[in-house]
Amino acid sequence: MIVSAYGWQAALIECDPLEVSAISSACLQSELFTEVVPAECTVLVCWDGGLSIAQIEQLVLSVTPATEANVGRLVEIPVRYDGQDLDEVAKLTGLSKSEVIELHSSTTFTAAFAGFAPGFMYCIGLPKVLQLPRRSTPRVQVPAGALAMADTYTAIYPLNSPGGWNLIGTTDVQMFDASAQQPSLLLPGDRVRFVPVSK
Amino acid sequence: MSSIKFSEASGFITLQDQGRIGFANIAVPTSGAFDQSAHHLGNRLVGNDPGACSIESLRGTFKFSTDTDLVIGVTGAPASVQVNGREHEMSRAIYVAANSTVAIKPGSAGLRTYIAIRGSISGDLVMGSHSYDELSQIGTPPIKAGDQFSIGNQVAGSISGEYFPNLPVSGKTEIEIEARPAPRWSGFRNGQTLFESEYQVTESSNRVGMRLSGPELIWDSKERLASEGVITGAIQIPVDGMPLIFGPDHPTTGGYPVIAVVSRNSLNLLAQATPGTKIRFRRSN
Repeated sequence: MIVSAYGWQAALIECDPLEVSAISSACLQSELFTEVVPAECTVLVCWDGGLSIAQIEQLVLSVTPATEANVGRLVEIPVRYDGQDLDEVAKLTGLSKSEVIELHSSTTFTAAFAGFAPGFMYCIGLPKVLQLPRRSTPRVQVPAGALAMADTYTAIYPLNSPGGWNLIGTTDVQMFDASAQQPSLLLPGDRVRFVPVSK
Repeated sequence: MSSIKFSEASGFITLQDQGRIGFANIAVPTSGAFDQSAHHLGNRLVGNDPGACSIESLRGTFKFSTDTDLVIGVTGAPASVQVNGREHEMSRAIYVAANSTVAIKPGSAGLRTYIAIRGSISGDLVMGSHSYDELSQIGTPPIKAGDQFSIGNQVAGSISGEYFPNLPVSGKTEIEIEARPAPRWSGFRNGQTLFESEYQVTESSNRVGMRLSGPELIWDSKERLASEGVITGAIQIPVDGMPLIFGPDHPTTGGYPVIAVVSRNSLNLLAQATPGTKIRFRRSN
């Protein structure tokens, strides 16, 4: 684990991907920081006023690894596996469509980090056989609620936006609502399951 | 309720305050005033909290009328400030009587002019801020003719009698920017080039980021860098090797390496740097 200064009032904590979640929650709970931004194998922290790298190191070293008891809450999201790219995904993976659905919906993912658009949460845990590259030409418009996969991630597009991921389904659940008390349905660290529904 | 109404508005004119704090983990940037020193000064002149909401105008031309007595402070990039056709000075408190019209026109230098109003202007409060975020397109939409905004009564202190004649942006064509090497600094083959060369602000610059042109910076590592959190002022180097300095509406994570981070004071200078401005980075450790 390495903690390095990032400008004047921020630090980048580099760690094992499996430690990101536990370190982020410890940083949030410490209430020392204005922002705590987890990513693939780093946690960025920002603060007001004075704080030393040594203080942050001390905090991070005291973090205990995630255990069954302190993993994130489980969020279940109902989806219709009706994405435009489902046939192509089946072809590229050598699986049948129902096998793709079975595999994806029986996996418990972890919301690892956000990026790209408000509430867009990169979820990790995608089985290897489902890991496909992004589409060679991104779509100009992907509708809000589209369930997608690319590389090692799965995610739901929270808002209408351009996008290059493989679309495999749709949810009617609102993923991001700026007027809500908690604007993003998913938070980093949450465990996520996609539950197939027929309509 | 007291309000102001825009009869004319052309250019990119938004409401900005201290921004949205604590939402970077769900990919919502802080946003807020780009030139914080001008924004804070305006609020100080009229007796508001430093982070109170004010108008940020990117060389915009606009007119608004008021149905109530106002105290305003115009700061940042030089502009013509007229109240009922009479010219007023920037960087000092201006009294505006009810039923007057305030007209602002951009001057010859700088980019962003701020208009603070005693009691604070109110737009759409979204996630704790009125600021328009150009990346996520949330907050108060950019101002257009016909828009009306209420003026509150939240003040922090008395109206200031101070005058800062030298504070409007100078319009220098060359600026020195203080920057600190970031954790990925050592992964660049020629990181020192950033501090030894001249860069230029390009037209492709907005509140999300400012693209510079100049000598290419070369990321040495063959491996893809995993996405990492970024902050306002981070200098990211995309595949073309040209620096991109993140502004207040920057994406919260990014997959290209960040070579260095610009200081808060230098960001205020950058917020006013017109395309073509020459930049030299001074290394701070």
